[in-house]
Amino acid sequence: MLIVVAFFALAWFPLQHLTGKSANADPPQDQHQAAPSQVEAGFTIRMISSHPLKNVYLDHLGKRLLTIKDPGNEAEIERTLNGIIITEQEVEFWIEAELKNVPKSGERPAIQLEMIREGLENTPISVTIWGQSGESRIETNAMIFLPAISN
Amino acid sequence: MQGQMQQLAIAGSGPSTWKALILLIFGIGGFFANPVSSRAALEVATLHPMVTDLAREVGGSHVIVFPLMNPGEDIHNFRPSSADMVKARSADILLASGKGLELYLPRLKKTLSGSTRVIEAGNAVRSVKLSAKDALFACCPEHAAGSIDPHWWHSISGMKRAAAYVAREFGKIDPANKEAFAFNAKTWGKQLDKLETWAKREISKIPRSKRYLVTAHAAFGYFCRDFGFRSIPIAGPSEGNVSSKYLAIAIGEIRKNSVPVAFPEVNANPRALDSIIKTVGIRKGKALIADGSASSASTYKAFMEHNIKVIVSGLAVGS
Repeated sequence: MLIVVAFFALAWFPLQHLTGKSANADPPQDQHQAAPSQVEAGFTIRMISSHPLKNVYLDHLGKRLLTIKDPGNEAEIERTLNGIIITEQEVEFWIEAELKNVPKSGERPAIQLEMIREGLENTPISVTIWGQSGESRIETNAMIFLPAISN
Repeated sequence: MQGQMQQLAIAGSGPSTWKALILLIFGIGGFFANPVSSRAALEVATLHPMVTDLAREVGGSHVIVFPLMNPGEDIHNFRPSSADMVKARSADILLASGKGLELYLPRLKKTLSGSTRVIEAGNAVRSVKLSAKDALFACCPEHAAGSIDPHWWHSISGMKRAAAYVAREFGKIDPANKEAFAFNAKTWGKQLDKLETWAKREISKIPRSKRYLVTAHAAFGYFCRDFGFRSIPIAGPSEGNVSSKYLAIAIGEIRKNSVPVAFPEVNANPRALDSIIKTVGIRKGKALIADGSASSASTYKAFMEHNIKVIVSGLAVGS
């Protein structure tokens, strides 16, 4: 009898682990997890635009992080930013850019925004933001999902 | 005699005669150039304040709008009066919000003559379904049973789609002004694009981890979908209907996510929300317009601007 009870006891816990069930079921996973921790981090931001830029502004949580006026003929614009507050997974920017000229009809301007987190120089993350054909102004938000720094 | 005849001929071809002849020629020409321009404007009876604004923007000078519900009235308790029914029956178009908001609409349709066309503006908008849990916090049991959130006007892109749809429907009834309706919808659409860009810029001031909207009832599904929020409604149509179990879930969500503020609603009973605010110890924000009906915000732009400003002032960093 004791052997039978011991057998079931030994089988019970591994089986629970494999099926993912527990006595008190958690609610279904949701888009929003428990409030994640926040850290400050430094980034290098690189921008590549399909059309020559007149100016670019980058905001984060309502604060102006970056102002670039008349970058000239730089094909790539690179800047370093420090003290950006991020959750473990994501950072959101608001970008406003004005092009030097109105794109031709049918041409949509695009800016590739690449972020390289300090300490993770070998894992840059990029996102492409798009403007509208026939408009010289791009205004949009951009979400970047970041790899976590493993300790 | 010949001289008299000549004098008569000269008199008959005087300045006033020429003027009359010219006017007659222009009048006939004008008629043939645009034979239906003399059609009376479409008469549109509307059943929701936001739909009233939509009708005016899209219809412009080619419609006369008769709002049957005025800003500030309770959309869930509104029922058309006898005078409203007369107006509806005599209108060319009855423009409803749709998505089951107007529970009286099926009965109202049966009383209409065949010449009144019913248009449900919300048909153009992709529906948000109420989850089983949120259904308990819906504005009324009938809406929960239908499981479609009827508050589609919280989506700016949805309103733009509705404008294009209503323009096409107006154009079917008044083909002579089809292009005018389409032009108006496109023009208003550009203004809505600017409004949406502004809204997104404002909302970007709120960290994504803080985008929780604690409100009285589940009216913000479309807003949450479009702007990346999670809705935590507190109370249903009356406090007695909501079980303590689900109130406990709502309190748990607020605490787990460190939500700092709850928003009361214009026209909603604040008691349940006040008790939650006191229990959890969070701030009480300014009142939101949940149902699109407030005397202080009779246009769509004013309504959305009000809500965005209230939400950002409650949740943005530093608030």
